[in-house]
Amino acid sequence: MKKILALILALVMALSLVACGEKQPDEPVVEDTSIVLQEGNEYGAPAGRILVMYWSTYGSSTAEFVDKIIDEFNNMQEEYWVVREYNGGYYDQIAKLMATEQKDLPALCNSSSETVGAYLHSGIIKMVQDYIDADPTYDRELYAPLTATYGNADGMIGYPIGLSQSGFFYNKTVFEKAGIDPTSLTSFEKIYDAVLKICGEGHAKYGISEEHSGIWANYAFHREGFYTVDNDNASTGLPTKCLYDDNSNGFADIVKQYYTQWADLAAKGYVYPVGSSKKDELEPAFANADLAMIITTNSSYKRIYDACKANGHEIGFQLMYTITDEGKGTGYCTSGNGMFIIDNGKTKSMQGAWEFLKYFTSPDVQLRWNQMTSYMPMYKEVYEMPEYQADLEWRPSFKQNIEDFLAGDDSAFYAFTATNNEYTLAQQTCLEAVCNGTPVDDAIATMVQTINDAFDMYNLSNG
Amino acid sequence: MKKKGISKKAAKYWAGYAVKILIGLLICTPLLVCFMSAIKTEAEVVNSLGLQALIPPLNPTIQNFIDVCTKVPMHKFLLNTLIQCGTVIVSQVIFCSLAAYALTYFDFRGKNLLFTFILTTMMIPGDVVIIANYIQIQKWNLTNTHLGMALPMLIGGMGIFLMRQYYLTLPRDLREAADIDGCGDMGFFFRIALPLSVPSLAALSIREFITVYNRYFWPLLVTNSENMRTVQLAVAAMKDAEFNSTALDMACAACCIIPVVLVFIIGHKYIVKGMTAGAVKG
Repeated sequence: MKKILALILALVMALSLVACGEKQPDEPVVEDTSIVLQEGNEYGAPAGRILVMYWSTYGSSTAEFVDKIIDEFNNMQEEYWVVREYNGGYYDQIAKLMATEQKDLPALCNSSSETVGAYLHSGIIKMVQDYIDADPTYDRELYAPLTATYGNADGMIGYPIGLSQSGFFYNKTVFEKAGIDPTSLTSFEKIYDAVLKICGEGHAKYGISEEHSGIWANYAFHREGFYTVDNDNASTGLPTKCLYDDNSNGFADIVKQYYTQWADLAAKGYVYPVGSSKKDELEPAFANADLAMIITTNSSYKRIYDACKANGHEIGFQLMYTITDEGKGTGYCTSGNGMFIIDNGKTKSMQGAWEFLKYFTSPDVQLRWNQMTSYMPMYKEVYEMPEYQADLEWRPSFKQNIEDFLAGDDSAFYAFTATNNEYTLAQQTCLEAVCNGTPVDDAIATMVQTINDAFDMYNLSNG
Repeated sequence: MKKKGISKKAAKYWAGYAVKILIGLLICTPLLVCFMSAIKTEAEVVNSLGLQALIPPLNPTIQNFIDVCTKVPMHKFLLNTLIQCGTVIVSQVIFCSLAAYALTYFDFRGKNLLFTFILTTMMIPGDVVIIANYIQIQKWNLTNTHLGMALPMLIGGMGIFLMRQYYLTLPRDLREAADIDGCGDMGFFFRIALPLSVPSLAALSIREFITVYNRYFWPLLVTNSENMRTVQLAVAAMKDAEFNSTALDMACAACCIIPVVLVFIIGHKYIVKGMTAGAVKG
């Protein structure tokens, strides 16, 4: 019986491997199959509209806002009808998109800036650049770091719809007591010294922590002037290895210095336990001035501002730092969200997706979107609107952030990996490990191995 | 002379209870945090650090529940989930008990091989086949339908195994006596075996209820429209990518937890009975 069982299991395994290894190519779509909605359709749309299906990761209040904009778009023109369908988190949605037959794909979806690589290498998207080139009415000039994050040499892969910047919140009260100018903290080396001073002199119990993610380290490495994976940071092809242990240009030393400084601060008890929930643990500690800095994005500015104000503290936000004082420091990786046009074979439907995308990123909608979400403007026209300027009065550091960001170039962009969930998790784990006493070299070696294994697995089935 | 104070036996007895109560409290803590947070304001939740999360709110509110129902059509999601649970349970009870009956009482060529094959299906993790199942459901044009959502779960190796193990505990004499009285195969199944296997059927039903109720990724894959979505997707849809509210999330989770906790409370004795049936051969 055991032999039979073993044989059956071996057979099942072999069949599974065969099934996984060979992807059936979708039948080529030769003609436009856009759905024209008929009278009495399930979406309540007028007859004759072209259905533009939009898969979204937004829930709750953000989804309500997006639905409002969709209603506006549907009512302001007579050709398209956008329908939003919720499809889980970023990675749920990517998995579903990759497994869905072309005819059933949506025309549009949104996802985070760190997943651009997954869409670039997925083979299911249409480059947004194609639509930009074909549209004579398009005359927008996105900030340079945004074009770097959402585009490659062939142009725009997706299109940003909301910009949040990474960096750190600082509690002004704590910094004033310590006599440190937070805007001078432009490198992690300086942050390290600041934490030693703040905690060493007893101005706060904890100097620093982060919203637990591996992306911050990469943002800092990119701003320092390094690529983190091969194939030009995966912009010219799927990544085959990460470069954290490659010292041909001194990058491995930078990586080691970064994690060593974290480990040192943690050993001294100056790091609020890494892995803590940002909203439920870090923010209350920050609002009580027990914690001086949180590394995160500025998208939660309003909530943190309100919590600190209630405790009599002021806050500020400083954009992402380099690792060393000598770092390049000219570009910024951007956070936030973007939209992608999916190649579902329905030409008119995809054109409708572009029209909706254009509307969503128009100045008036962006102004409301930014006011609702704390996202930053993506181009000058929005930033210079009097309503937006008025909205900046209660958050003066935002104004400086935007000015700094405006001065940024397109030299830094997050690696276009297709396996960001594993990539970023490995870095998260590395930081946890070094902060809990694992030797830095060991933690980095494990991180490198984990990431490279993930790349290998992905490339075996998709390369 | 009798010793004063608590005897060793009584101390052991009470210590045992103390440990059980402690374990019980530990298990209940997440549920308590969930329910307490659900009736607090967002500001109160944010300021409830550590054990404070267990403390009842100063001003309890049901506003979070109202907001959840406004943002997500919970009634529709719950109805869809119950339809799914009902379909899967009825199908599993019918097919698994019949298959198990055949595997227990009939002798045919390849019986052991067939049973081994059924066992192997239990050893393949669901996540491995989920995309393959989704592709198949798409090919059959069953996406966004109740049938498509339920199809891969209508029969399962675990159910057949569970029922077979129970049937093996029924005394052979029963079958022989039924034969002598002229009771046929189906007569024995419907009149004797099935009524006697109620605890195992209940265990199977409860297990399937919990499994189907808690499914997240499969319903997300095979459904698109809100009209077909299930409760676990409601919890996910409440979460905002960047601006979520813990109080709202907890209220939504509380709404989803209640039915499954009730089912477990009502049926937990059947689960234990059903799972241990056949563990000791009589």
